[in-house]
Amino acid sequence: MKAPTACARAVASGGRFGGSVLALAVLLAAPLAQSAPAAEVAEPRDAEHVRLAAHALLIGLASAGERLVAVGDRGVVVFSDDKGKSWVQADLVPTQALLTGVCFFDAQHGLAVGHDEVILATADAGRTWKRTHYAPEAQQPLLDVWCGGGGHAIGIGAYSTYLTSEDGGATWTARKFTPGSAQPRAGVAGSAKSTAPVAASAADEDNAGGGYHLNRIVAATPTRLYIAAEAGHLYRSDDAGASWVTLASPYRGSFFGVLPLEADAVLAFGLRGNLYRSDDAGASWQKIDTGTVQLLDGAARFDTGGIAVAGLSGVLLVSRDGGHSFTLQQQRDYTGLSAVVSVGDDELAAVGDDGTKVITLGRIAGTAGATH
Amino acid sequence: MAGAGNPNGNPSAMVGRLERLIFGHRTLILALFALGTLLLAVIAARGLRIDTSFNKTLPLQHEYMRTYLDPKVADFRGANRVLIALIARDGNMFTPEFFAALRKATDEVMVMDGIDRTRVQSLFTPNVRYIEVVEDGIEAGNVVAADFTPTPENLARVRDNIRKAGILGRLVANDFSGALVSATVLDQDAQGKRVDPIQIAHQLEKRVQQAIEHPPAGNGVDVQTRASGGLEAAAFPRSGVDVRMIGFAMVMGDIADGAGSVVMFAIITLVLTLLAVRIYCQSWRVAFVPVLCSVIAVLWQLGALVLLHYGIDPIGLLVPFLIFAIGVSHGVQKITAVSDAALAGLDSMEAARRTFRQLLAPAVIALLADLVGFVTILLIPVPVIRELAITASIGVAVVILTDLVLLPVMVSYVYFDAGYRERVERRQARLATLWRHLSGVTRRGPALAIIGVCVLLAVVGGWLGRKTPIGDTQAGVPELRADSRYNRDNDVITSKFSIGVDVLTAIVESKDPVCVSHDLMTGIDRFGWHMRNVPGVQEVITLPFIAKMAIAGWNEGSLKWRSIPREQTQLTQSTRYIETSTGLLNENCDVVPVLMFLTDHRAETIERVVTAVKAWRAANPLPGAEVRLAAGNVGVMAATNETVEAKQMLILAGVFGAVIVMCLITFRSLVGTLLVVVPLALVSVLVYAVMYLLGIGLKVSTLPMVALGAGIGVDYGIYLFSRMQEFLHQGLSVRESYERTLRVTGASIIFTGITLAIGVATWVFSPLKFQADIGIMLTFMFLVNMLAAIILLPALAAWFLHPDGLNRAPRPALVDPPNRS
Repeated sequence: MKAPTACARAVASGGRFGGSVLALAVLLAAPLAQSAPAAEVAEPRDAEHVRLAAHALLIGLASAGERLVAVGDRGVVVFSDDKGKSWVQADLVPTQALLTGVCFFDAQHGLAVGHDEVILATADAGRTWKRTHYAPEAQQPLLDVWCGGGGHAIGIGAYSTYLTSEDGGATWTARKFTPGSAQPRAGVAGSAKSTAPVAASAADEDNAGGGYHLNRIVAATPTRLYIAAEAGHLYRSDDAGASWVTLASPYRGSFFGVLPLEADAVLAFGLRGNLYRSDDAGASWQKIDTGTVQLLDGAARFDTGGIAVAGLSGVLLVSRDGGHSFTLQQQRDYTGLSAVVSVGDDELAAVGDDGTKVITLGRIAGTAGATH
Repeated sequence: MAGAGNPNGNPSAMVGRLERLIFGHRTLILALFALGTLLLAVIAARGLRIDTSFNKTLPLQHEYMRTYLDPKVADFRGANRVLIALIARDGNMFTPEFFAALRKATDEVMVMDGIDRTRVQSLFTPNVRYIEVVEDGIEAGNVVAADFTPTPENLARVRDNIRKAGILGRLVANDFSGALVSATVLDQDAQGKRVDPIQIAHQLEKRVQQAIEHPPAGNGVDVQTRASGGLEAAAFPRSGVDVRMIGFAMVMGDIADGAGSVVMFAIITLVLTLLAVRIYCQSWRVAFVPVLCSVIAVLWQLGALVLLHYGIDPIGLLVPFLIFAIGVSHGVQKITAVSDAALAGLDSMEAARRTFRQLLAPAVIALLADLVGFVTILLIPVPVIRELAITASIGVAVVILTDLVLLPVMVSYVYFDAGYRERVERRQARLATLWRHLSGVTRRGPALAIIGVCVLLAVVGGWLGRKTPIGDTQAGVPELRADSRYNRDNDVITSKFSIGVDVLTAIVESKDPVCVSHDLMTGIDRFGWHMRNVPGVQEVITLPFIAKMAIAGWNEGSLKWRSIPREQTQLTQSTRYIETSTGLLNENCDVVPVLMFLTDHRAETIERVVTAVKAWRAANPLPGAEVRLAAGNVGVMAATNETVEAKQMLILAGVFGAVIVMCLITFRSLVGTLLVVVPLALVSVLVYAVMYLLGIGLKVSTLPMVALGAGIGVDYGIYLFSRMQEFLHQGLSVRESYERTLRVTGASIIFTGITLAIGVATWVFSPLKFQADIGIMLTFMFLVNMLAAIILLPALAAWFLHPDGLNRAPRPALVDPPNRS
């Protein structure tokens, strides 16, 4: 039985979130949960068709040709054919789980993944979906999915769950995620908040793969992939996922996203406004000042060269210099953003806490200001 | 009673005995009434109070209210909530002044008697917390730290915390222009004393609103200093923070304030009525008698209220006016009869005695009909309405005493001088022409036309009336006018926040703890999401909603984890730190409310949402748990609306049944009964149409009026037909009988209608909308019932009675009606 790693390592600084109480709870609950037989899980329900589908919590966003497809809470899938202005809910989505990732092979064929280890496939640009994988008893949410060439696909998730498909997502194979440690891990750099190491994390260090949550998988080229993972872990593959190496990490907090730039340049970002840049495909990193402590989650590049990184509490970081420096463009509604896709020179389609929205970037970088 | 129809007016044995008893002890009777009045007036003056208790407005037997009053649900009732919104006038709440004001408001509410201290929520209360993820764990804390000082850094941190705590739209305005203090008013305070919501409202106005909007000079932001008295405070310049308050207590406070104008209405009504009676009676001396008798009846009724330990609630304010109007109108019938007798040459004493004999039966019947109208209202199982029924019934009983006993005795002392007789005779001569023309309605042609018009009215009225909505037809509080301060405050709060005070709460009750059941948690989550999508639902808050935020928090705040975990440890963890003070679960986690914040409480909105809840729970049974309706103020409204809808036919049937039985007993004639009841029924149909056209919904305050209006409206028909029947029995034709009836009683019937209408018409100008609505409805019913009685009743008589008399079969074929003009 897997204990939630993030929780197990939690140290409370607030009064009632007492660490000892928590540790006890985990110890007591884990064996109990293990002994109980996996409950018989009923056939999942289809997502409900609702008025406010485009305002549900939405997590994943992908382009299918000209169409945008977003996925999220309770099996909601919506798509837009006008660059995010209006959205239509998918006709048939055979799950009500929280969907966390979506990708497309081409304008018609795509995949979506989510909690209950559900994987859905569409052949009509997101209008209807089929369930091709479903394992709720495994209790491992899938957190992202990548659609490669030739029907090759990778689904990643909690506790280093790693699933692959070679037939466009119709069948899936679970694989053990065992990245090689090609580069030595750098020390904790640039973290002002350095505190005493936490006991629970020490044991995990030796364990290859470590059972960390794999948060996001992104392709730089058809063969080069990156994975942003929990507790400062970053992975790279140069053979379309056949093998992975652990990158030297500049940070011990979790990464939630990666954005490959020109050549070997790449951005990695995550917890507490941490944003790092590497110009050597992840061998070394430089910290970029962001002016925010919000979790950074999604990112997009513009044809014009601009870069946007979005996060919780309406944080939007905008770069006009190829990702060397960023300006905080605080969204006035303060709603969390999870994924963004550029839909014009200055426009982003975004999804998050309050569903879909279109964000127009400030005409002149910096005018929106870092403070409200 | 049996003697009433006796053509010669000979008293039956009983009436005779009563007559001797009363007129034989005139001084004693006057003395007794004087004493009683003095006593009850003193009691009323000392003990009368405006009474508003929330529980009294509940339809106790309704399914929803059984849920609502279930002790398990006690913590989730939430109907008696007040929201105090502080709005920064410049649109930015992140200023030291605003936070000082918010802290002051929170502190003041916290220490107020009658407020549930544990449920007060604002940025400054410790039950408003946030969770934040840091590299090596989770940080949690109060949104506003205990040692908060309003520095720019701290204010910025508070803004972040607001977001993390998920309270934007709930405790903080969506545009960060203001924040709420939310509090629940207790039914009883710590000492077990009943909490008076009006008291709460006035305290909030003084200690929060006044103190913040007009802080005393010199300590504008000093949160420690209380504002001095309201008068003084008003002199200080306005601060930059507006205070807007809504909730049941505030409604009651405003209603109580509006009710103050009732005294003015009472005086206006009294003066107008006295003038009208004077014009009608042609004598001040005579006019004083029925007015005085009615005032006495009202005093007795008010005294009785105190003796019964009732207060006057806002709807009950109407009752004294009705009693007064009923008293005067019946008194006028008496005075008319007396002055007729006086004209015939009898002295005051004899005239009074003859009137007593003549009118005892119809008066008793008419008053009994009123009484039945009131008693039928008892069928509405809402305590406040039952009190209204009881107090109004007592009032009518008192009127029976004052108008049938005291009035004849008083009038027997009045000296009718020659001048008076002359004036009355002159007027009668003038009116004779009118009566002759009016009696033309008994000619079969005009009669047919009238009946035709009335059938048309009934059809159109019935068609329109079917569309009369049950419940409230406007947003805001229907008791108050749309432009009242309360409703303006309500508009502001609902526009700036995602929530208002219109909450429908469904209660999920489970055998086993919900918190550790993935199925139940997801079930409730699905339910909440389904309801959120129903038009009219602005926001839904549930335990799973918060649990999902919490579990995402435990997973570093990532939105990808905002899902009810299947894993037992995580599931347990997701709810472990949600306290019962959030109002989202009970101690055992087996009672879990689903709070649905509605855009408004219009009847159609409520019905749509309630229907959606029922449909969902029928299609989605939860394992080992049930979804129960309903708590929250909208739960109460839904129950009330459904009760009104269920009872309205019963009440109408009750009123009409009683009226029919009484008419049958009095008239001993099916046709006679028909003649009285048909016009009454027409008016009842029309009043529904009027309600529809004026946007007045059928609700707890208006349904009784339909019954009352019918109960009182039947008086005209009874007085009219009882006289007419006498003439018919004497062998006169329909037209002759009707013309004579008009001569005897026509003026008094028209006048009665006008008096009754005056009594309630002044209400149209009430600052309280429901009083104005009631005023319109009753004015309409009284006037139109009167018209129907003098026009439709004789027209029907022309066709349903043999033109030559009563006890013959209706004429089968057309025969020329007797033409006497």
